[in-house]
Order: sequence, then structure tokens, then C-alpha cells
Amino acid sequence: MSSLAEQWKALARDAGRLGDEKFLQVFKLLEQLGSKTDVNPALDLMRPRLAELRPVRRISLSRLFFHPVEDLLDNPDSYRRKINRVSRATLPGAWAAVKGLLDPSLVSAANEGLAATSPRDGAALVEVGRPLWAAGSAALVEVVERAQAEMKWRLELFGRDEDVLRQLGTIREVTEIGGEIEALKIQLPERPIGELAESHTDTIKAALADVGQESARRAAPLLLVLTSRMMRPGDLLKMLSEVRMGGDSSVRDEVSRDLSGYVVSNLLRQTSEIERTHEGAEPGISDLALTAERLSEGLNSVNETVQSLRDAAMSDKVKTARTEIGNFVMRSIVGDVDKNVMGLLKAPDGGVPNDEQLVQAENFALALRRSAKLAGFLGIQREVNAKITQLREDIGRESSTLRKRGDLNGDEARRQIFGRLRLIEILAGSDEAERLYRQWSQG
Amino acid sequence: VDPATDLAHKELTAAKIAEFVPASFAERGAVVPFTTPLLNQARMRKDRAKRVEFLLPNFSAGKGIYVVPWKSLPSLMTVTLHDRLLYEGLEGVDELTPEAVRRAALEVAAGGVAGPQAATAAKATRARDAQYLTLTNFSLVVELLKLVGIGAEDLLRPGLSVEESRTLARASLDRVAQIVKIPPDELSAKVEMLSETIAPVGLPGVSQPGRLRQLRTRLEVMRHSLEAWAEADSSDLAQLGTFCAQIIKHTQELLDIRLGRFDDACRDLRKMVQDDMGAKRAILEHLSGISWLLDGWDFLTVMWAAVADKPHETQQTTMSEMFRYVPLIPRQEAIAADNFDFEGLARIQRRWMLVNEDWRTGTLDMPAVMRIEALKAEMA
Repeated sequence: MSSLAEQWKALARDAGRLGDEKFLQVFKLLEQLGSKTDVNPALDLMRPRLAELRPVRRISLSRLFFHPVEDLLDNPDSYRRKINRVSRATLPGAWAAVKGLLDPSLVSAANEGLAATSPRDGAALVEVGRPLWAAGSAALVEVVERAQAEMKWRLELFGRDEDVLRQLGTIREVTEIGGEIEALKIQLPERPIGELAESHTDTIKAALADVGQESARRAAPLLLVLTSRMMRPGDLLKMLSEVRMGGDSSVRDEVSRDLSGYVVSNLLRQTSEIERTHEGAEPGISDLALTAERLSEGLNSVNETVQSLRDAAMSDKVKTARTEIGNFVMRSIVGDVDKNVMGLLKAPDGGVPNDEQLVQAENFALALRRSAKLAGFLGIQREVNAKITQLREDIGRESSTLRKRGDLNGDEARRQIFGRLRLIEILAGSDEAERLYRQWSQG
Repeated sequence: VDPATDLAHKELTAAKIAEFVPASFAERGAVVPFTTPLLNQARMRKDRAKRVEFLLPNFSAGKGIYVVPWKSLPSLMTVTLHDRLLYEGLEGVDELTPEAVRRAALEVAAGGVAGPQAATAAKATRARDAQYLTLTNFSLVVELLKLVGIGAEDLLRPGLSVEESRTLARASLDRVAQIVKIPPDELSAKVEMLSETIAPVGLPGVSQPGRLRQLRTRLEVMRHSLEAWAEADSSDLAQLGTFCAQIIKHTQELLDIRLGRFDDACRDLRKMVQDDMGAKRAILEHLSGISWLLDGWDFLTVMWAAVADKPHETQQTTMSEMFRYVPLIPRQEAIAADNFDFEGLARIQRRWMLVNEDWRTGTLDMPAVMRIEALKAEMA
């Protein structure tokens, strides 16, 4: 670590003794400093307290510029080509090239706008961003042309890979309608978008009709972004047929086909990433179950569309993806769930589980229940059902031992019994939990 | 539009305000803190034949309110074990008041059927209640001692041992008993009984306000937040925000009248202990008005506070959900007739409601149950 970084860290440590307001000021100052490698360790030091204070992060101009593309971004190590995704590694070069072409007065106006706008005020940010996205998108046309013509320049900014040209094209298309995209995003639920209300559906349809007024082609980037935010992207594909858009109907079919291809490929990409996403991070069981659910729901939602494409290769890929998710669920959720739950119920010192352990056991049970919902689709119904039955029996046996124990006071015993009944309720439903409750209350 | 929705809509259009707003608190029913998502904030009341029935907030196409006897619920949805046990606990309760429901709910939650966290929270709440009761009792005694010229500072005088202080207090209370012409033993029993009656609201002027007074403050905070929110929201949901804020405002106006009367009833201490049954009756009457007015708001303040730091779009969906639960002021109580376009507001709400597949099929959505449990554990 450089000595400068050490000095920043010392400053960060000193700032810890300041009052909240001053502390935040120091953080903001540090954040505005140029060289991130030097400053980052200091910022990391300040983050725990920052999380408590929850200050609103300052948005940089480049971050605002790439807002509309954020749902298409992948880390360089997981980036997959040819499916309209963008590698984060491309962004610094792209921004440098774009910024160089922007009118300085536009840049300073946008900077002033940002300074005067709360990062929480989504609607105001859209207004600040509009001119930036329009001008930036236009600049990207030049950037792509130059990158094609001047090999040396391209190598310097982006390296050897020609795929960068396609990525720049995607950024250009998306930022071209950046205002429309961002305005729509702030009217919809947070991502991942699960359920939609009627008002949301209306808003989406109106936005599509508006953007695609001349040609459905122009709405394609908006659809790309939206499907990436949705739990069930297939729902959007279905919605598409209900929207009136301009231009040739063949164009709309083409857009629809492209989009289906993107949605499926993107889900496949995430499926093959599923193990790696969680590598080293030690995800909670709930996160694993949610990931599996999100991917299964996503694939399930495009089922119809994929069938209608009559693309044998694509159908095969979907089948493979299903198997992969199924294997993942079996391996990381279902496999050891009984050992995990029972391990939590039996405290090593012969005591009883505390609140935290009971909650953890519930999380395992919930993950298993989520898996059971997906099991039919993933083709692991038999295995999951067998596991649920076994776990129920295990819990039943353990509970009867617990009920025979004489060392627990009435309050604690009741709490432990209800802890087990809740597991049964999660796994087997409320009727079964009630039946056991009555049975256990009698004897 | 499917025919059922269309029909429901026509029914709604035809409905008069009278059909939206209950006539009395008894007709409105008391909110029961169920955890089954479809029963969230359901109200419970007794029909003419003293049979228990439930009023469910409109959950599908917004046909207004569903009135359902308990026995019919299982055919509509899966009900959590917690709710089944809570219902059992309420069955024997004579009068379904908000305070009685709260007691039953805390008892059930403390057992652990709504999860370990809810159990811990319920126990903490009961401990706080007990503490506040002691505080109220102590404050009453201190007030009574003033009748014989003894102040708290006399009891806590430096150099006085605990035993001496206690003896002084007892002797002074005996003198109070003489003045108010009540046997000393009876006096402390009366004070205890009055403390229990007063504690949910708390004595006026005590530095630590009682539970329902605190809720009034939280409601005030929520009203300001809603007004600011409605101001900033550019969708039609702003109307729902304004509506909620308006209802809170009227609730507060009525509440303040009741609180004023409550405080008056608590002021004349001598009269209070001399006619303890009369005082109890008066205080209970005002307390009842206060707790009925506030019934249902506790959950809403928690629900709204939980999304304070969330993006605006999340607050929007919460707003539309909250609208269904807003405790309307019964027609008997209202000072001025409100001229809300209920039908229009309900239409907005329906347009913003997220459709949950599990809810439609009646399957129990466990993650949703747990979200409700977590919010309810936050309630006081």
C-alpha cells in the first residue's frame, strides 16, 4: 500500500472521532478525490459507520451517463459475448472517449444539475440526465466510427477485442432513449420486478407505444433493459403483442424474436454462473433459494415463447438449463437440509436452540419449501418430496424427545415446541401443524 | 375486463358513502393482528346473534369489504396456526375491544407461534406495560401525597434510608386516607385499580407519555410524512396519500377532545379516590374512545416507517396497500361529513395493487406471512 493510502487511512481513522455531520463531510471529500486506489482503503474504513448513517451516495457524471445501461452490465470475468450485454471493463474507455466529444458547457451544466439534485430524487435525475444521454449517444456514433478506423486509438482505449464495438453499439442504442428508459424505471417496482399492478402494465404499454411509435426497432433497447429487471421476463414478451407500434409488422416480429433470444441466453448465462456467483461469498440459504427461484421463474415465463420459436437448439439449451438449476437446487439446498435443520435444533451442549438458531432453521425449511414449488418444473419432485417427508419425521421424533425432557421451564418448553411446529407449518402446512399441536397438547 | 370485476365495479359505483363508512366503532370492528396475508388487518365484530364475524379488506377486485364468519375462512384460504390460536383466545372474550384484542394477541405471540422474534418482542412489550403500570401507580401516590404536603423530594431526601423513606410514605398515605375518609388498606387497592385503568394512556403531565399518547405522536409524524409524500408524488396515488393524511387529521381532532376529557377526569385526585367506581367509569369511557379511534393505526405507522428509506416506487405500492387498511372514522363520531370520492379512490387503489398468485389461489405465502410477523413485532 502506498504511503499516500496510509495517510488517507489515518485521516479516516481520525474522522471516526468526529460528529456525524463532520464525518460525512470528510467522507464526501475523500470520495471526490481522484485516485481511487489510494483512497479506497480509507473509504472502506469509514463504511461501517456510514452504513449506520446512510448518507446518500454522490452520483458522478459517468455513473449518471451509464444509468440506463446498468441492468445490462456484467463483471469482466462473467461477461458473455453476443447477447447484447456489456462488460464493465468497457465503461472507463467509453466514458473517456464520450466525454472528450461532449460540449464543455453541457458537461458543466450536467455537473451543476447533479450537485443541486438529491441522488434519491429519481425524477429530477432523469431531467439532469436527458441532455447528457442524447449528446452522449450521438458522440458514441463518432466513437464507434473512429474505433473502426483507428486501430491504435482503439487498442489504447479498449484493448484488442473487437467485441467492444458491439458493446459500444448497445450503449449507444440504450442511451439514445435513456430519458424514456429512466423515466419508466422510476414508475415501476424495484428490481427484480416480481408482481405488476395494472397501473404498471399500463405504464409499460404506454412507454412502449410511445418509444416505438415510428418503429418497433426503437423500442428494442427499452425491452432489453426491462426484461433484465424482471423476475418473469416472459410476461413482457407476452405483453408485447398487445402494444400497437409503428412500422412494418415484420419488424416487430423480428424484435420479438431477438428479444426472446436475448432473454433465454441471458437466463442461460446466469444459470451457468449460478455456482460461481456465490463462490467465496458464503451466501445464506435464503439467497440460494431465491436465485434458484428467480431463474426457474424466468425460464418458466419464457417457455411458451421458446416453443413458438421452433428453434430446436434453443429448446435443448433451455432443457439443459433446467437440469442445471435442478442439480444446483439438489446440491446446495435440498441435499443437506435435514442435517442442517436437525443440527440447529440440537444444541451441542444438550441445551436448546436460541432465537437465532430457530430463525436459521426456519430459513432452511423455507428454502426447501421454495424448492418444492419449483420441483415440478425442474424435474426433482420425487427427491424433494422424499426429503420433506424425512425432515418431518426427524422433527417429529426430535420433538417427542424434547417433550419428555423435564429440565425446561414451561415458558421455554412452549417456545421450543412452537419453534418445531413452525417448521412443520412451513414444510407441511398449517393444517398439519394444527393437528400436531392438538396431539402434543393432549399428551 | 372480466365480468366479475365489471360487476364488482358497478356495485361499487352504486355504493353510497354510507356503505364505505361504518356507522359506529362496534360496526367497524376491532383490528385483529392476524398473520395470514389475506387476513392482515381484518376486523372482528359480533353480529346481532353475538356470533363472531370478520371484515376483510377488499383483496381481489375491490368489491368493498367482505364479511365472513370464522367457519367460512378455511374454504377461502389457508389460515396460519398463529391465527387459529389467536381466534381461540378471542372466542371467550366478552367484549371485543382493541385493548382486549391486544392482550390476547400478546399472550399468543409470547408463546412463540408467530416465531421467536415475535415472542421476544411480545414479552418485551408486556414488560414495558408492567413497568408503565408501576410508574403510573407511583405517580398517583406522589400526587396523593401532595394532599398532605409531602413531595417526592421529601421521600428521597439525602440521609433518609430506604426503610425510613418507606415508613414516611406509609405514614403520609395513612394521613391521606384520613383526609379522603377511606380506610388505609382500601386506599392502596383503589390506587392500584385506578392505575390499571389509566396506564394505557398515562397520566397527564408525566414526563414519559403512555402507550396511546405515544401512538398519537407517531400518527402526527406519519401525517406530516404523508402530506410531504403526496406533494412530491406525481401519480394519482398522491390522492390516496392526501386521503390518509386527512383521515389522520380528523382522527387527531377527535382524539384530542377525548384526551382532554381523559386528562380532566384524572385531575381531581381527591374526588377520584373517593368515588373510585365513578372515576373508573369516566376514565374507561374516554380510554375506550381513544383506543377505538387509534385502533388499526399502530400497524400502519410501522408499515409506513418501514419504507421511509426505500425508493419512491416501493413507497407507491405500500401506499396503495395501506389505503385498504385505513381505519375510517364511524359516521357517529365524525365532526364534519367528509366528502371523499371513495369510489374514485378505490379505483386508484385497484390499479396499483400488486397481484399475488398465491393470494388468488388461497395458498399460504409463507414469506409474506413472515414479513407481516416482522412488522407486527415492531408494534408496541
